[in-house]
Amino acid sequence: MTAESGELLRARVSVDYEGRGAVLRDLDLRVAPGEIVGLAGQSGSGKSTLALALMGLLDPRRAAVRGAIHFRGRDLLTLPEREFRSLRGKEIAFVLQSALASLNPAMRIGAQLREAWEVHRGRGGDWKAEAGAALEAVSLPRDDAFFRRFPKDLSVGMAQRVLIAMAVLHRPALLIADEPTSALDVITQAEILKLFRGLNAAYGTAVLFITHDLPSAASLCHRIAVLHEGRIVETAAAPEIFERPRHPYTKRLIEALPRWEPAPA
Amino acid sequence: MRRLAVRGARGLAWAFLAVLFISSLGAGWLAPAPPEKQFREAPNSPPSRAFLLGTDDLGRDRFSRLLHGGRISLLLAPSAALLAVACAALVGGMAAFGGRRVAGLLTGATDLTLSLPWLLLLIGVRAALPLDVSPPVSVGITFAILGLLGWAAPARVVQTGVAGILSSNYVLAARCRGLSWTRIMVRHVLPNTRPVLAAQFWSSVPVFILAEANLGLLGLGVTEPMPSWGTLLRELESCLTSGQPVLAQYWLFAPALVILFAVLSLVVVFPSEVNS
Amino acid sequence: MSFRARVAAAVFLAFAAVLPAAAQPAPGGQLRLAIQAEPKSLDPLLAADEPSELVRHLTGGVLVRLNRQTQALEPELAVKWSAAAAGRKLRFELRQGVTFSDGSPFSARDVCHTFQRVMDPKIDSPASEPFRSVKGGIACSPDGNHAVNLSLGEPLAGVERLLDDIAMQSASGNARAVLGPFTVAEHRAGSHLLLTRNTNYWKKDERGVRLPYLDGIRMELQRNREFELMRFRRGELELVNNLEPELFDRLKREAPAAARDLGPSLDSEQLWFNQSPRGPLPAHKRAWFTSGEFRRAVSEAIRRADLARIVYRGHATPGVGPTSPANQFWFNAALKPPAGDPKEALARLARAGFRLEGKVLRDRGGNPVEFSVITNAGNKSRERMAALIQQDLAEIGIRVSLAPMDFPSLIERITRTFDYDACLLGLIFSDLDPMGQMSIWLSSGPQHQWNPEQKAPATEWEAEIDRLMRAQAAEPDRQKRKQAFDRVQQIVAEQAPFIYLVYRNALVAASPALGNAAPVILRPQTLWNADRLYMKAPAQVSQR
Repeated sequence: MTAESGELLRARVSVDYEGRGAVLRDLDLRVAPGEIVGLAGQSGSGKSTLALALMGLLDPRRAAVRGAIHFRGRDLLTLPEREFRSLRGKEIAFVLQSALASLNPAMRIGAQLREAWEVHRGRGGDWKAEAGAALEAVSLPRDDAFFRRFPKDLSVGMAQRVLIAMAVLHRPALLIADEPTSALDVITQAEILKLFRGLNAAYGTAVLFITHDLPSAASLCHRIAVLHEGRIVETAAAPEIFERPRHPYTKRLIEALPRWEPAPA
Repeated sequence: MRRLAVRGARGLAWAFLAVLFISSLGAGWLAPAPPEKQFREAPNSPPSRAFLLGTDDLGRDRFSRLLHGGRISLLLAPSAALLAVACAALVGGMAAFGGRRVAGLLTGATDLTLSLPWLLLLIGVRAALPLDVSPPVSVGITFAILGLLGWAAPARVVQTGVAGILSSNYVLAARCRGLSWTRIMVRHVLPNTRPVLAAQFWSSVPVFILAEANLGLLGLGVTEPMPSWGTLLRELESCLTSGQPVLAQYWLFAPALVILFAVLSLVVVFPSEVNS
Repeated sequence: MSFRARVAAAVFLAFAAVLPAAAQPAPGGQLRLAIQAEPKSLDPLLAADEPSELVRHLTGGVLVRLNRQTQALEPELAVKWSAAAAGRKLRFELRQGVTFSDGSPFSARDVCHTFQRVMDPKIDSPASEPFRSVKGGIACSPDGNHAVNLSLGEPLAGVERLLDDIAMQSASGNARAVLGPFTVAEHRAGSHLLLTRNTNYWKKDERGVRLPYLDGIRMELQRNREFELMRFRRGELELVNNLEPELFDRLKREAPAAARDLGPSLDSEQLWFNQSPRGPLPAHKRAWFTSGEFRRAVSEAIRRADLARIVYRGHATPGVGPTSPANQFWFNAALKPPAGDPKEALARLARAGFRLEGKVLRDRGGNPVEFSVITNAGNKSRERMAALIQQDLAEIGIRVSLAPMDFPSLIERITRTFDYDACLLGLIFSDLDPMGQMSIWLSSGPQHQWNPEQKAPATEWEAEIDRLMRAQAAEPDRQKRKQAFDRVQQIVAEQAPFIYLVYRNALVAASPALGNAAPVILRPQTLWNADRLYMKAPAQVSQR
């Protein structure tokens, strides 16, 4: 199988967990360069498994991954770990669900940013300038006092911004965000979504936005894929999903929403 | 207010440790009598001006023995604890990090160590050692035995702790940033095991002080006439288990209190992760 | 190391002498005491441990009994006996009208049956041990129903005392039939042993009341001596044997009337140097240890009075020879323990070529004198004695290091590898007669601890001890035997192969509620006269 031109990512995978059976079945997902794709589904539908599979971080002792994941023309599933490692964080970035728990509690923010920079660019570069720029892009202060802080001195929203700053440090082609807003209050949620949109516009970074929150997805994404029991049951442009849902599961999802406001175009 | 109290406690702890340290180092000058000197006319004396904490059953000045004993115990117990915790970190870390086979092997080794008939093994150790072990050498041997015996229980705790860290989000996040396992171990896992290791370390110290004394029952441990806090504690232990009124010889509690405050002070002085 | 056998002469002693005149013993009541270990065997011929021997003493009837108080032999089931053919033939006339606890009559047949069992190699009775060395063995033949003849292949000095260990058994084969004051009624392993009165016991008191007075004796297994003492204080036990000095002093403070220090026992504590050529000792050390002057100087430097006063809280008696003053007949009163004088010791060492340089004693070759002392770890008294000796010897420039170790390792070193310098240990004696010490003093003996099982005596003085011990063993005259053994004791004090330190005092407790209690240093300390013990009526107790 070859990747079609104009595709950043094409994943066709099945994942079996030892003792739990199939989690993803012949899932087929595409992301075009610069595109924001929403992956919506309930908890347990296999969203996080897909994210880990794309990052190559499923434990091979516990999960069997079959199929192919093509990223910029290379099959990630056959990629040696060393090469994969040079992709992670540089070309594919990942923002996890729980922001505060994703920061090492024993390391200062500055040190973590510096480490994230130096792992791909080596020492000697001006990590402070780059990290400062990234922090500015996520509306955080770039002074030394902030660099010296420990994660316990941050709010959840700030932590999430730090993580996003770290994720866009190397201007990755793809940013996978797994429920990045679910732990946040409504106002911060809106700010973070805005941030994603801004980064997408500024750097041309494609975003795979994984969420159980359909309205959030609709407000951010160009396209939405609906995941149900390990399969993508429907993919459509964001407004279309709401206006003409085709799959019964999608319909159920939409009916379950308390109220619906049309997403801004 | 609270911060002030903490600062006050810390000051006190430093002061106590300083006094302890200086008096142990300077035991040779400060102690009223050599620790092995037997005042045979006054065995088992209660406290008096001549003997601040009374004398033991051979008529040796308990206060002098407490000062001199500090030299050995303050040095020996923490070093042994350090050795034990270092072994525990290595084994526990490898068991948590390694594959299922490595983990099984190391867990088995830990269980075996915990269930071994140590009494018999220690008897074997005594049998293998030369008879005329000088007191300083006996200190070294005791240190090694305690350290090598004490690793297994902490290793289990460390294994659980490391396993928790390995499945934590920040390790996953670090991997997503493209960090190698080596770097993750050094920068992310190891620093975060510090609270676990520190807790194991601090809880080992008083245990080892006492264990040193109990090794004496097997003919190991610090040999006569060199004093150690452990031998002083053993006096209190035998007094307590004898069923006599507990406060009849209240001065026997002095060494226990000194040890208690020493350990507490150490915990207060090096707090950070231990308390949080 | 325990040495058993018992001594004597036939004197009938009225018990009235030890009875308080006013008290009228009344039958009834149960005596309670604790035992520290389970008896290993209830077969009297197999008894080798203390609890088993206690049960044997309380249930067994013997031909001749060693009076634990007078240390003389007394007729029991044999009313009289005589020796002929230079001690090779013994004739016992048996008491008539005696029946076993099961009602069957006691006769000469039972005596010979018992001796047959004693000598049966399949039974391997410890009581047969002293007879095994007798060439031609021992034979028993009944002479009618009420007399037996024992014949030995060769004379065996003090043979009558051995009969104290041999409880008569019924020829009918009923193992439960006994002749002593009590019978075993119930035995719960791990819990208790209950003895009840043998209603057929033959003894009566002076008023014609059948003995024993007690209905029964309950022995409870209680390994923890603290608990034992606590229960005694609560009135749940009436007797405590073999108390440790510390516990004894505590009891003495709380109940002065109950605690009794009976003075020195037979049990000694001693230090000895390894003289065995089989050990891996360097030549210079062996030279010290085989030097009589060196050993005696060490003996003289030890302050025995301090050992007794500090380690045993005064409940021990300094000694210098193998026989305790408690052994009324065999003790050599001419031997006095040294006071512990460093000057005297140094002068002796100087004569032997040692010199004190600064604080270090050196031998002729300039080697600093230092050695290690092994003892059994966990024995507080010995560890403390060793610490005191360490200090005493430091005064004459000898550096002693202490090496306490577990008992099996220690035995391994002193009996097989001989890899040690000096050893501090105690001996438990139960035999008053030197015949029980042959294996210690003969240079070929296994318990000749400083250099055991020699093919030929290594030194002149050991050869002399060999001669003296053999001579007294073949000598029928008791006074001549005593002369020979006195000389042995003197040689031991001079040569100090065993440096005797102290004899532990026998410390016991007896409840004031117990009548006729007359504890003695010989085992079974408080129970030797169990058939005469009785429980006082409450009124009698409060009068005291």
